[in-house]
Amino acid sequence: MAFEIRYPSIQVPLILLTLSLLGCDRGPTEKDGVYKAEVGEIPAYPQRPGDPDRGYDALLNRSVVTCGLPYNAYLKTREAAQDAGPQFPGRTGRNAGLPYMLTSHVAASGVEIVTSNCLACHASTFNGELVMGLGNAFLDLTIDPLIGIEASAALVEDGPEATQWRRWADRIGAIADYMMTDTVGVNSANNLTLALMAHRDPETLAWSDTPLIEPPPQAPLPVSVPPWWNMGKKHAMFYNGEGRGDHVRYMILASTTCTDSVEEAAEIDAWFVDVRAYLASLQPPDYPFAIDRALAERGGAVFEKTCKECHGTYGEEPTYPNRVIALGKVETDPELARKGFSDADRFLKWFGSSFYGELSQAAPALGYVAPPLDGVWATAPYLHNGSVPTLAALLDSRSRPTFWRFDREGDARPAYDEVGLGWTYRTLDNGKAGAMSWEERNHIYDTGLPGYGNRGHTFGDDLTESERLALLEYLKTL
Amino acid sequence: MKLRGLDAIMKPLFVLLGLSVLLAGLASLWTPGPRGPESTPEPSLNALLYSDLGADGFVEVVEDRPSRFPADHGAHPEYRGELWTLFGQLTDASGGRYDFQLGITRLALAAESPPRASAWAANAVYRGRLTLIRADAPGVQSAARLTRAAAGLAGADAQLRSVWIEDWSLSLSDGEPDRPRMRLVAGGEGPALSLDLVAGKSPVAFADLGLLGRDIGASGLHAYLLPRMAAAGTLTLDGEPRSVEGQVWLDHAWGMLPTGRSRVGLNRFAIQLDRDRELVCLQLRREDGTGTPIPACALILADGQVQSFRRREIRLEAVEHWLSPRSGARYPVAWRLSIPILELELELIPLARNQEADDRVRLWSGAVQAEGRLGGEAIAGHGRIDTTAEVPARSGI
Repeated sequence: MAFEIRYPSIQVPLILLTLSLLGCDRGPTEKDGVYKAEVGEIPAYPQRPGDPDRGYDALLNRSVVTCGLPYNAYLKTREAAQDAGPQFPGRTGRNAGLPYMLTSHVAASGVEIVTSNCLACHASTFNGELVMGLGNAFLDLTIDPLIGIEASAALVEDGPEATQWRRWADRIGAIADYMMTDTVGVNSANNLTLALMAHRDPETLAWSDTPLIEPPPQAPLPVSVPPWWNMGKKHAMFYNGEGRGDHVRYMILASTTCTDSVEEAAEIDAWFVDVRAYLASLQPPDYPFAIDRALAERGGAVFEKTCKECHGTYGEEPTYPNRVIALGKVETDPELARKGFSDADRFLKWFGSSFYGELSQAAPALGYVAPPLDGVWATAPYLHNGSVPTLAALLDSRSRPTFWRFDREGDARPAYDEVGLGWTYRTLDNGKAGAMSWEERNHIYDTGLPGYGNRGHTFGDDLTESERLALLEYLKTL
Repeated sequence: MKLRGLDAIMKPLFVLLGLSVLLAGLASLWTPGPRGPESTPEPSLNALLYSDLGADGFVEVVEDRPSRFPADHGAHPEYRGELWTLFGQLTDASGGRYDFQLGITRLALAAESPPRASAWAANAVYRGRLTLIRADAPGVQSAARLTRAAAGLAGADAQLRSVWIEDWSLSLSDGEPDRPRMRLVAGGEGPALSLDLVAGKSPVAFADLGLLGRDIGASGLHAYLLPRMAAAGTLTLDGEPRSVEGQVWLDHAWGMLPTGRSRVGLNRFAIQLDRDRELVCLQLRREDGTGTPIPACALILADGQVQSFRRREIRLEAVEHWLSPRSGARYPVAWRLSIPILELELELIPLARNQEADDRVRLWSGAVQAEGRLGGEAIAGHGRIDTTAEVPARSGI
């Protein structure tokens, strides 16, 4: 049994008061070209205006990643012969026939290529419907991307096609080890972005096969993909609120796999302002199952009392405080915030001196942003690292599983748990160390691993069982 | 809404690519070549083996299916191609050591035999190749057979569970379905073999090795291996028979057997180690040597359980290359392999450099010895490495 040291209760408000005074009216501070922010409120930053309709079309039909597999080679894959799966309306031309996470692009050489787009991570299905902006909690980044890429060389014709293939294959080859996770469902896009930075000159964006600054560690910290529909409310991007200033440049930064010059980046930036405008206009889906309105109303009162200080209010006149909560208060797994605050100066400096940082100020704080809770019932698993499978477990830390996996067969989606609010899961006796195979190991969420902890956010622990049930019902209405 | 299987489609580009393309490399490794010093009886037959006949009318392997024994030990004529490859190390009473390799390939020419008057009408070509290396003598001895399946000269029988090509045959005698007994006979003027084989371990489906993803089982080829069969019988060299015994490995695969070249190279390692363990590795790489080679390994334990290892757990590098004077092809022939989490380190040394099996598809298929350490203790073994040639970068790729 671990001892818990508690401050005398009278001191807690004093400490909090002191902290909040320190945080008052202080923007990020700069040292050697690196900005750091205090916890607390994140101010609003003006965003460049764009056309949401044009943005939707561009998101579905234009390519932000400009390298990929030649289309002719793609046609020879077995996947190309299969049904393309669910589709978003508005995919046009070649894209209408491609799976929604792939986009056709004609490279400068004239070779048509198939590229990855944002939606492999930022779209997913719920209750059989494809939902724009819902983070994909089932994406398998444990697969070695190089196997498929290198094998696809056999499908490529000599000449310009082969040149296109090689550019793509070499690029992914350089970053593959930074994007591979050891747990199915968690995302590594932030680590991948840092790896790309390490290989580029910040001023020219020219690619270097050897890293120019020390790359990030090869084991990415797990991140759960946040829903896009919160973009309109959030002043800063990313869990530690470091994405301050212009949001577009952060958005396109994650897709710089093959953006090798400032001119190319500026071209993408010019149409991505429309995409940002679309994302900021995006609304969450409605809860598709029954809601007990009377119970939800009682839950609303619990929410007012327990949650609104950090997460804001909902309904007719919503408010959202945009606050970074200190690690010491939220107590969730600190690795991501700590690494972003203390171990990332070279990347913050890179960003600041690049095209991507021209309109922005990357300034991490030592804490996590309390996110807006719109559509929160759809976004399991919870916390920044996806360590807590359901909202019920999030609101009662005693019920959180230490080792768990989604309850599903193979690639099938687990059933949605309308009581606990999340995907059904199985609690396991052992973590990854006890797994017999790769397959088994990769599907276990092991909260004992660094960065994978499920502690903290214990604010629901003191609720009564009926208060918690009511609160869960209320969350369905958001 | 059908959700099952949806994620098979919903993958980003880099994991979406089917592994079907791997087949080309994999099958070429198992395709024994005939172009040894012996002249082939019918060069036109040889040409047929390399021609692209298409898959019309043949059963195609579209997904993994469980193996069915003993039936799967027999032939699968409904599939276009099939191959049986055996290799192993034999010793005689005076300690003489012999490493042999014997491959038989069946390639169907048409899905259904068209009615023909001639008894020589045949719808399949069979090819066999035997090589032998003596520990006490330099060089590689070899023999080959190439014949149409006509007039009983060659054939493969699903019922009798045997395959034969002239005076060579492999047949299932009896035994438990998962511990089969077989008889291997390779007669003739060159090195000749007559061996009784008893499986010491159950067959392992290639798909269950977890090499380069499970999908490989669905890549156009079914395959299993019997990685350890006790062998006893007679080896005849220069007309002189001698009793031998040892350990033999059998690969049996069927499906499409493309023979075309691609810019994807594939190396395969199959090693019988001491302590009743076998190691299988694949290494996928660009033919021109650029990019990141992708190794994958599986260790079959004494009880038949399989441990799989992936790229980032494996160090595998060629430490010696050999230039074929016949084809001009350059092959990696000696290797260093380590799997740190297993505490395994192995040097793989070829028993002879000149073990080019096929100068047309440019394949080196050679007997090797293994020496190293496992878990802090010395370990040794022997086996076979198949590698495709390294090709200098072509323009544009």
